[in-house]
Amino acid sequence: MALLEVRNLQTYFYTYAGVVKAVDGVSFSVDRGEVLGIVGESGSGKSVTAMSIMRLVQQPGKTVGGEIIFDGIDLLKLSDREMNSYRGKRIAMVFQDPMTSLNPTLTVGYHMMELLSRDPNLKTKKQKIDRAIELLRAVGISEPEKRLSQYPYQFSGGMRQRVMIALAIALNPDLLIMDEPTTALDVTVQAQIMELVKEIQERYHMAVIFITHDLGVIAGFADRVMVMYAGKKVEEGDVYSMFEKPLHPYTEALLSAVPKLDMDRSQRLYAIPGSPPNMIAPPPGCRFHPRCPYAMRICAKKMPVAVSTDDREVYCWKVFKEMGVVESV
Amino acid sequence: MSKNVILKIENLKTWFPVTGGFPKKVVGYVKAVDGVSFEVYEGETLGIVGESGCGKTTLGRTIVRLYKPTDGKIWFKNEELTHLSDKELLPYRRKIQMVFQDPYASLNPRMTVAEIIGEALDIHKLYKTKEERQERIYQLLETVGLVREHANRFPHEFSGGQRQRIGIARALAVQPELIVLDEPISALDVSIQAQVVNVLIDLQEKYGLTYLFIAHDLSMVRYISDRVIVMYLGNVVEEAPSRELFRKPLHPYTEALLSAVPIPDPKIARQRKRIILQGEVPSPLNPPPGCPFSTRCPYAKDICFKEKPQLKEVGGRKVACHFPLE
Ligand SMILES: Nc1ncnc2c1ncn2[C@@H]1O[C@H](COP(=O)(O)OP(=O)(O)O)[C@@H](O)[C@H]1O
Ligand SMILES: Nc1ncnc2c1ncn2[C@@H]1O[C@H](COP(=O)(O)OP(=O)(O)O)[C@@H](O)[C@H]1O
Ligand code: SF4
Ligand SMILES: [Mg+2]
Ligand SMILES: [Mg+2]
Repeated sequence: MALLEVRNLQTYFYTYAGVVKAVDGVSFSVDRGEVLGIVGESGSGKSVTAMSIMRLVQQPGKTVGGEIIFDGIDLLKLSDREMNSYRGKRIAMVFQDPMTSLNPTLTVGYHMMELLSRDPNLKTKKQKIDRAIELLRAVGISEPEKRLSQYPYQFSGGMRQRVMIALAIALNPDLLIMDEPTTALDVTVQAQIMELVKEIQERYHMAVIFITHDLGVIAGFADRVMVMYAGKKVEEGDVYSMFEKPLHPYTEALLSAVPKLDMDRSQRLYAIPGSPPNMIAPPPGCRFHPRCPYAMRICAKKMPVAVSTDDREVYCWKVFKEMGVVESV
Repeated sequence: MSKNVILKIENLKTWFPVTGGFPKKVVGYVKAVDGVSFEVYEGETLGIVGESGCGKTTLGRTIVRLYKPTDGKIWFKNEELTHLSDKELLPYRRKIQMVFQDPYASLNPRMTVAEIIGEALDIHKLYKTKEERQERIYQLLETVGLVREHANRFPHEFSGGQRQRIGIARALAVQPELIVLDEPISALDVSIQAQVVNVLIDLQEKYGLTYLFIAHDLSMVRYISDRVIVMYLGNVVEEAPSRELFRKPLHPYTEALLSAVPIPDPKIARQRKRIILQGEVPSPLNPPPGCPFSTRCPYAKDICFKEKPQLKEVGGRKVACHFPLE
């Protein structure tokens, strides 16, 4: 059984302008020890998916449908108190901006001690301090004893993200969700953090959901990839086969919009026309159809159904036709 | 491509004073740009790369004279600009334009697109009649792939990519020869980046523009630039034709930077050898003596901590390192 199974998740925002269907019927699963990458442009619903799993979606947002089965239990059915005992302990999350989860007026040591007080194996203060030091050292922070008494602002962006990772792994969660953890960092710091995340993921055999808009980062880390567009999953599959032969026109377009290593200016980049849809009134049928070079009549009318192969799941009428399953259309 | 030098920078320094104490006095300088020299040829794209804080924006802003240099010289064609008065500078301000990173912050939210572009035309008096002015505005919008109907809308009514096009139209309005593009696509989604890059390439071909393309996305810089300079801590550490730089970096920092770039191909991404730099960039308030990269360089020897390497020619390229890579 998968560690996490998300079924038909729907999280909507009830704004004055209308209902934003930020995540609209998304299903996926993550196995133990597996890295699932989620990609898509900004506004596609990646963060809301993550926040829904953590049950941290705030007003005016609400998860209005679906199931989130974690280790056999539907998280959406838990009381707030029960959910609290999952957060941090079984499922932890690292955000793009560490300052959203660090209190600037409290030391890093305070943050760590507070979290470690939830670890039943650590009884004395000394044990907790030792564990905090061990954790900081594990994420590559030098002089951890000294660092414990410092405040978040005394850390650089990269160091702060290391602290967040230390906090996230402190209680040995089964699932770690990382939402654009390196997006705000420079490439050499990003490389340092990715190296660390990989090492930790392998050492603890942790399941990871890694969210990013950077196809390069996904290519280097994920086992499986889910591509989102306008609140929907459009394609999911094994990382190697997906990058070698993307099936969904949006995935294909994303990959041809970035320059390949051997490309120069004489070869034009593929520019996806138009812009991402208004999420209050998304296009009918396939949400990508107004920007899709292959769009057919049916694309504007009917939501594509899933086409599944050995290692892929695609929601696209073109792929549906090519696979030869035409009778119901 | 012609080899006429359009812009020449010599030992340029832009330092920001840091004040402290009571009464306030200058206690030090942020050496944002600290002795930079290079040339730009007419019609080329020179890419400028380096991590945040290395001085790219300050360099760009100094070239368009939004900042006054602390020291050094800037020639545009044959005129040396640093000693000119504001009035004498006006014609050069027209010929050297800048497009800013943040399409949200760089456009006045209370002005319509027509007013934003018109303002640039007004400053430099680039029309005779009102009709001509209006026609120019429409033309400019179409040139960057927008439409006439957009003229009377406000910036907030546009997407990020469209706003960046408005910024480009404003820069183009005064018929510049050189445009400093400061991270023009960094704030945009991948699918929109290609749109803007294609517009930039088309405009360059059409008008023979010269670009200084500042970015931290190395794969896009490689794609768009003829030559590239790499900056670290206010200094140029390497300069080379784009292809050569990416094929074979000579400076240890360039090597590490390139190896850190994520590659959207799982096979290559997982096989290649990566150089993970230790530590972080030192503060430009207190740059290391010797080589600016010495504190993180895997190849540093004694001399690197003592003597600052100069940018020297090596086989038609330039590198500032005591031990350039073979
Ligand atoms: N607090 C909110 N109020 C209204 N809409 C929201 C809110 N948070 C997110 N959304 C909307 O939900 C959609 C998905 O957002 P998000 O998951 O943050 O995208 P991503 O992480 O992929 O960039 C967007 O259209 C966004 O505007
Ligand atoms: N107006 C300013 N006053 C003081 N320091 C500045 C100013 N602008 C930039 N700096 C500093 O100068 C250095 C270079 O900054 P910048 O040119 O913005 O780098 P980049 O564009 O490469 O990220 C940084 O350390 C930055 O903090
Ligand atoms: S369903 Fe149609 S519009 Fe949507 S991606 Fe496939 S071909 Fe394009
Ligand atoms: Mg997000
Ligand atoms: Mg900058």
